[in-house]
Amino acid sequence: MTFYRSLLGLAAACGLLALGAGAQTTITLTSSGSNLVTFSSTGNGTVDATLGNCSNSQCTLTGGAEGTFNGSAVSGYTINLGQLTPLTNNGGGSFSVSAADLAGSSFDLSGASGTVFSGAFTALNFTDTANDTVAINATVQGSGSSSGTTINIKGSIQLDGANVEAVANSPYPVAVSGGIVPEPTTLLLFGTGLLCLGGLMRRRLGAMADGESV
Amino acid sequence: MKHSWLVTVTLVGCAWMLSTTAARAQTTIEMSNSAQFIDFYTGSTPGTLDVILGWEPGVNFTGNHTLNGSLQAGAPGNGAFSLTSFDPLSLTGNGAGTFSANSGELASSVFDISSGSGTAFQGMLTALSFSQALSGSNVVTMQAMVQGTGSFASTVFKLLGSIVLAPGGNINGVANSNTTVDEAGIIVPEPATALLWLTGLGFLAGCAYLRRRSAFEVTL
Repeated sequence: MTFYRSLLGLAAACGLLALGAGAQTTITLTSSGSNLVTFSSTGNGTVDATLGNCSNSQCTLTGGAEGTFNGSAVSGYTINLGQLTPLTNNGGGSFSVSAADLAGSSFDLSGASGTVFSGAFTALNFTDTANDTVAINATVQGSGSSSGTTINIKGSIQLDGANVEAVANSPYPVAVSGGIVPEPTTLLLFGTGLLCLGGLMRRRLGAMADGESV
Repeated sequence: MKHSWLVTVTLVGCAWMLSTTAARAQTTIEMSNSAQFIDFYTGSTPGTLDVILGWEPGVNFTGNHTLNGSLQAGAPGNGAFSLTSFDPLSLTGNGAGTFSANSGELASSVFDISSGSGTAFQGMLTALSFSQALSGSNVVTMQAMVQGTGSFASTVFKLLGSIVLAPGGNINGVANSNTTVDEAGIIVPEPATALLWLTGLGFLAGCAYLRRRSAFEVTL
């Protein structure tokens, strides 16, 4: 009994933590659908990034998102960016998009009732977090009806075998691409929640079976 | 005249060597570089791989792509090639690191070798495969069979190329990934050729050094 109470307490704490994180207007990008983020190099020590599919020097990346904005749950995003100049190498596997390239960008969040947020990037960074995972961290400044609002964006790109720094340091022209995937921590939280629910259901079913037999 | 038999043997030997070299040049042609990427990405079914010959970042995946580049010394024409295909091509793995194209998808491919003012050779790919060179290596070997058409109908040769991916990249990993990922690289001179070049350069440098040294000793 004590064990189940502890488990319930843990689940409640997890839920509160998740709600708390949501209140800080941090939006997590969970997928990029069939679009890919590409890092390429011409072999000169620099690296370029391409977000999604491009046409007439304009690239679009769409996908799923999670978090809340103004009390509304968000479910998707659309990013529009021009074709970027080489990223700025900050060292330690961290690369950022220049402020000039972010001018003219747009970032929209959608929910059940349509667009819930519109804005433009003020910062966009990519960081190698493992040999095949790149973290996206961005800040978006609202425009239009969202004007004056700043939100934080985070996401995780799954590459394979290589990372951004390896691309930047390659003596030959190379490119690696990957899609945005749910963060492992998000998956862990989801798994913990499912485990809690499973435990509660088992307990309930067990109690019902005991009641019937008595 | 006393050693005429020796001269004859030498001439026959030289002729044989030249004919062998010529035969080799006609049957195997090596690509030394490509101006566009060769891009491998996760196929629609586990273990399969798709490839685009002539991809550029930000450009749509499906459609006609052209891979341009140059061939190594000894190739016909002026050594510039262009390979056009309708991509992506589906590759099937053999479980040992080699992925091959379905021949039906190669039917619309066009492989040209330029002569400078025109075309020295025109043909199509009849087979295409890619294999990872060594465990831990990021070098992929490309092999193709090319069948000439028109006035080159009887010409078949083997095409070889060496593709360098990003450090840590490998096509097996791409094929077996749980999510869609891709790796792209360009064709570069294969290591053996580069080694031969370096050996030649080293030899020339050594000769130059010896000449300068002997000239210096004569002056003294």
